[in-house]
Amino acid sequence: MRTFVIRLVIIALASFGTALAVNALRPSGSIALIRPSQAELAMRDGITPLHLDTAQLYYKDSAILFVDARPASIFKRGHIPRSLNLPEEDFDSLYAGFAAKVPLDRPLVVYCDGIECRSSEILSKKLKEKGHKYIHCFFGGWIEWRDAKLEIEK
Amino acid sequence: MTSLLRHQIVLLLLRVFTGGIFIYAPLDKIIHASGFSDSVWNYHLLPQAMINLWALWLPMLELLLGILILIGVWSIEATVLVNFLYVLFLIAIGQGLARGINFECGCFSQGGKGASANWSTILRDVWFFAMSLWLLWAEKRQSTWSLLQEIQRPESLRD
Repeated sequence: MRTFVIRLVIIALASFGTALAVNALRPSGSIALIRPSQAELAMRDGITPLHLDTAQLYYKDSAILFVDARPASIFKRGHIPRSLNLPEEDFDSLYAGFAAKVPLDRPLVVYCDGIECRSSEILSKKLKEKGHKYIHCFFGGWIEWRDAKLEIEK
Repeated sequence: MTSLLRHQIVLLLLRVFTGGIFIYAPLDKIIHASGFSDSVWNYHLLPQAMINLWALWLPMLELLLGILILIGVWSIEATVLVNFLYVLFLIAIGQGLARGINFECGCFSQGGKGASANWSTILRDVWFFAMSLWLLWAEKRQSTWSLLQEIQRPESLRD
């Protein structure tokens, strides 16, 4: 039994050590041992993360457009008032219509369900690539907004 | 019947099957560690500080286990760990599906290349898990090389 446990430990340690060594020698560059937060990753891509309190402030400014990245069927069930639905999965087919209505210098706040969805982050990157200048990502999204009992629209 | 299910040829095939999966599965994840880190993050199970460590360690552990099983060295220990990993995978995928999260399995590929996990992913893993349990039951301390030699030896000359 002792030998059995020692072998398990050796397998675990050998694989861990090799993993660190391979990461250090990776030709494409090693990845950080501690993963940056989603907000930090977004900032690296030129996207500004927003917390709920700032999102509320921005909501009061009609010059700032809220963009809902969720599918249309979910958007219809409830969303932040005055937001525009641009489902991330249909971006390629819907972007032309979006671009016709929204100039590149209009500030945007992109959201999806909440911290467990990625479509707001992905959509933010796609909009950035299209040349939109001021993109904010509200990671708390619909769930945080709704749970804070803020104004909603159906 | 029992001896047939634990026959050397069956053991050899089970080693090739499970060992092969555990050698093939981590290759893409080792090459594209950053993408696999995204897949691990998507499960929303680990604290932020552990995501990249796990994303680096797991594929290398899988690869080592696959090699050990395939060559039949420390194969019982390796198979025990493989079974343990299958339990972890099933729990991780099951909880994600139960919570309705849209996430990639990250099982064989990562970084946006893999399809979203669904209940057929669970069924596939249950099937793989069953095979590795069978392997654990049939496993013995004998290298694959020695196993091959024994298989080639006439039945009458075997131990």
